[in-house]
Amino acid sequence: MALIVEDAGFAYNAGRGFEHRALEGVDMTVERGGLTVVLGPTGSGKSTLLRLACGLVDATEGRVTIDGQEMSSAARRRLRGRVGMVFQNPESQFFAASVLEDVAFGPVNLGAAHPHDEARAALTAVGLDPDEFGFRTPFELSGGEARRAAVAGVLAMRPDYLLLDEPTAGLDARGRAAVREAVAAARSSAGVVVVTHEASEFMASADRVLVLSGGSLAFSGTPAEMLSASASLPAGVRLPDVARAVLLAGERWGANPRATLDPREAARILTAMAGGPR
Amino acid sequence: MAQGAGTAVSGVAFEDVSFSYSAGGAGRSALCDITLTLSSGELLAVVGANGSGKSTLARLCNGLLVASSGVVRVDGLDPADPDLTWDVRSRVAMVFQDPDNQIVGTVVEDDVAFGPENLGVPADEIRRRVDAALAAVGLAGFERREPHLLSDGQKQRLAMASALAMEPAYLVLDEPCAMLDPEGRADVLALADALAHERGHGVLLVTHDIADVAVADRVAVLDRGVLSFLGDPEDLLSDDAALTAAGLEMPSIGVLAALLRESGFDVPRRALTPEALVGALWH
Repeated sequence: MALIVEDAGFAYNAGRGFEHRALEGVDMTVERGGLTVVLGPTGSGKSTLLRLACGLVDATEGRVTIDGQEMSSAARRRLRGRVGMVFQNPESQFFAASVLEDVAFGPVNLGAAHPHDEARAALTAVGLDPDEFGFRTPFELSGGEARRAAVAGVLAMRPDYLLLDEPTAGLDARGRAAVREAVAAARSSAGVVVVTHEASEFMASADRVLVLSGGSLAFSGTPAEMLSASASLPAGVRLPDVARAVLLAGERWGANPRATLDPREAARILTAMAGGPR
Repeated sequence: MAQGAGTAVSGVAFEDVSFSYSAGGAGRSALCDITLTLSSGELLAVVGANGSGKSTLARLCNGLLVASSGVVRVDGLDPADPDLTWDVRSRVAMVFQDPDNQIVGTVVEDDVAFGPENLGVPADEIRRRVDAALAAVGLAGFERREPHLLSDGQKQRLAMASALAMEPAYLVLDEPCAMLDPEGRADVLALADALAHERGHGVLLVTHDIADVAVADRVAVLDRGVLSFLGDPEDLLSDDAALTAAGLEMPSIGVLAALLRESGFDVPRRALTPEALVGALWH
């Protein structure tokens, strides 16, 4: 049971004068319950990959399958419904008079028997109490609340796979923590893909990291594997600061430490290298 | 900063400034009794949770918004006075979050020339200003490039060059790094630092990023429209409760620095980049 992107390529304006190749030979496998983080500089193809994965555009080469069924097949309408997509700044898409109505919109249109129950469950899953927030207007929510309500609107359609494009951009610390919790909650029923500039935000809990550069995969592996492949990362992609500090100290002291995301482990490594406090 | 006797007070000064978006001051104030001054050569970071009034404060600096009560003065001038609006705006330039919203030229040098052209600056002076502004932001050689082919970090530096070509005394940067990748962010932050500390502009930097706070001279914290802290970034960085109230989160690198301090290493609180932290251990 997985969303699989196989050797996929995509060109905007394919075959025309302004053809622009955005993706080439990209593979991605997202298991239910898994979390894949996609990193890469701006313009590297991250958002295009999400568009392919949710069936908004068809791959010009390769294919996308959802639990074994091809996205470009006759089943695409049904398959699309199983992949939820949260775009950048999703709160700009609110339109209903109350948060509950906005979140219920998806289930209502899918013909759910109890759309408001679905909406309440989704709001609870993202940490918004439906009794407190359900009847407020979505336009007066704080940034973090609004982003979570937008995620709830997608979760209410019970997707098997959830794709999020830069979900923490522009949010303060509290909002970012709330989105991380919402992603963790979504994993109980769905496979999640997060596109982000902030490697540190989701890397510790991811089981897979992809790095895109110029439309191709520059890296694909586990977070631990990425930490030991730092030399091969493209410009514009950085390891989280704690890992970079350990590696930088290694260069200074001529040592070869194993990079880590954990500040405590990093403190032990640095203390040993610096020869204890002076 | 030395000031001649009798000259107007320099700086962007807020005195007891309040602002409400609803007419007549009904409803919640977006800003409440703010008093602070941005001086030349100073990098002042403004932080706060979403909805705390940061962007409102930025827009009051050059008369895009006008205070509901209290006064704003730019080198002694009132931005609310219609006769002074253009004088004030030539002194205070603004750069917003998304550079695509403020780039107007079809090539880089046209975009930078747009401001001075509209101020009626003579052609050879425009050329000088364009070259100087592009050099200041590290985009010399990009004159004939099309803006939409630049990276986001380059676009944001172009937006800053276009602001600089107006030769403002003050720059107000409203979350200029929010949409950038880490490289672009580091470039723009280094530029803000240089504009304040090498070129003597007064720079107001609205941000969520604790790394920006670490290079600032002073930091102002807004909490639901109230100025809850104004002072040395070191003091804010050593106060976890104040950080949380400011919508900031001590990043993992700060947690690592704190652990090293506990073990007896002398790691400054401002050392919040890998380079600064390892530098502190090495020297």
